[in-house]
Amino acid sequence: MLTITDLKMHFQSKAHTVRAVDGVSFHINAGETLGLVGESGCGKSTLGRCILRLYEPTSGKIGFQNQDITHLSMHAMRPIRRHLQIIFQDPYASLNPRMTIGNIIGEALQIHNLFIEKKTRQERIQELISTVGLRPESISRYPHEFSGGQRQRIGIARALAVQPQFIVCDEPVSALDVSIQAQIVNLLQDLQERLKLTYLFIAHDLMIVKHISTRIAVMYLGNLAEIGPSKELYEDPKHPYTKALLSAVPIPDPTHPRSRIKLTGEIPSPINPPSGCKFHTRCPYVMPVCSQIEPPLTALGKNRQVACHLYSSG
Amino acid sequence: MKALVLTLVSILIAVAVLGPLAIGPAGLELNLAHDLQSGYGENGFDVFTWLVYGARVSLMIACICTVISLSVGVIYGAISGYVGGLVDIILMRFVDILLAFPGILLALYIAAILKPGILNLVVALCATGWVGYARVARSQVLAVKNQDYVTAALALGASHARILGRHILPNIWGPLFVQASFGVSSLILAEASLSFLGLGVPPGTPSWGALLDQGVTYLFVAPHLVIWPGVCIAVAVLSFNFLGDWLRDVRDPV
Repeated sequence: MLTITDLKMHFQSKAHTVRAVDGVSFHINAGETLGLVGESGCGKSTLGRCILRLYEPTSGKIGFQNQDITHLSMHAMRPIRRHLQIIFQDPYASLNPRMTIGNIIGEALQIHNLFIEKKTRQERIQELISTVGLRPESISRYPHEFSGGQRQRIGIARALAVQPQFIVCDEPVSALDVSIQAQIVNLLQDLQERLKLTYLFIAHDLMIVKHISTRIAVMYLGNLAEIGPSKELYEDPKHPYTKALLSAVPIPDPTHPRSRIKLTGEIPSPINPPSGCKFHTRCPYVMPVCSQIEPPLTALGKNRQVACHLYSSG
Repeated sequence: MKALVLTLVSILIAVAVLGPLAIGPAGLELNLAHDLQSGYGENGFDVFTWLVYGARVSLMIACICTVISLSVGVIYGAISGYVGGLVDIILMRFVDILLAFPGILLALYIAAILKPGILNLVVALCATGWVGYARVARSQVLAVKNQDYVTAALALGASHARILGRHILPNIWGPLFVQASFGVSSLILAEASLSFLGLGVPPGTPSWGALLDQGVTYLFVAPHLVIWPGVCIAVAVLSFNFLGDWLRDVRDPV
């Protein structure tokens, strides 16, 4: 459904180039959820927004349903935007404080000329409000009258209004309480089943990603480290970075033996990333070749790919 | 604070709107039978009548100029901030050039070239008045345009006009209204200054500045000619400054 080829997003300032996304390729199949994990600042959100053409990518290709949408104009992009939507992390920043819930959701319909007649449009808005589990009278309320979890539901209703096929969920639960997180994740899963949605689920909470994802991509400093089916990747991580990430997940059982792989140091700056494999400065298995040559993402088994010299030489 | 501000501003507005209706235009006429001592000015006009009519002229000019400056400044600043890049750099350098002059000096210059008259006075005051609003509007747009709800509108395919009109502009007014109320008070002062220098309202038009101008000749003989318009200007300026302070506190109660 969606194919990303060697996508790069470099932000240019006077003195520096920030390589937020530095050559990422993957595809997402219809109906699946691709989890995208990585540390803060590794380019997950930038990647998600590039896919929706909210940023102009520096190079690479974005293909949606066999159509190259990388260079479509704003006008040509409009009908496609109906199929590509986004849910945000911060439920407080993602709703215009001066618009009622009805107007926020209705605007999506207005832009795409859906349900033009006033009565049917109101019905559609009500339907969306009840789909996401809000009370009917919410339609005339303002965002400040709702809690974080409720606001997130409004954001979801707005994204659903135009009947999209693909939704980028940009850390949709990381700003919410744990009890609310479960509700929103369940809501997203229900909607996926009912409406046949495809998700790119960006998060840094590994357990939630495991729960919701079909496949998982691990990102480090603008590159993919590893990608593979959720279960396999959790049971048998290949890339040293994935191993370290997974070993950091707390296990709610004090008697369970654990071997933590502790990473030292900070994530390097994307302004001046390390040579070769970007992870070599923190990798416990570093080899001489790692600082010289950037390992390509190579197939490992049937559906897995990993970018690491440990596996590339065979 | 709230009570004081609202009382002062509503008295000023009431005097400006209703005052002239209440006292009638009789005192505006020349009446050479009166002398300076008894509340009458040069040419025999009634000081009280001129003060009341002056309130109307001074406030009207200040408010009209504020509305025009605000509109021009917001449109200019919003476009500059929203479009960004080279357009922003060029538009803002022009603002910097205008800001490099003391506002009143430029207004003085323009007023001196144009003939005295209310329309020309408004032009002169607006010519410099809008730049401040443009700066504030631009900075507000920069703060708002990267909010997620703007991104959401972009993701929905909203046009630039819709994003500016429905998502950005309604969310930038707060600081602009605060600035506008300070703007009214500085315009009252600017209008008075220009009229005092004879570059403001045409001769014979009642305005506080013009009254000061005429009264200053008789400063020692009839000080009330200067004191009363001076008090009016001070009270009006203070009132709108208080209004600005209050609005700012309401918006940001820290």
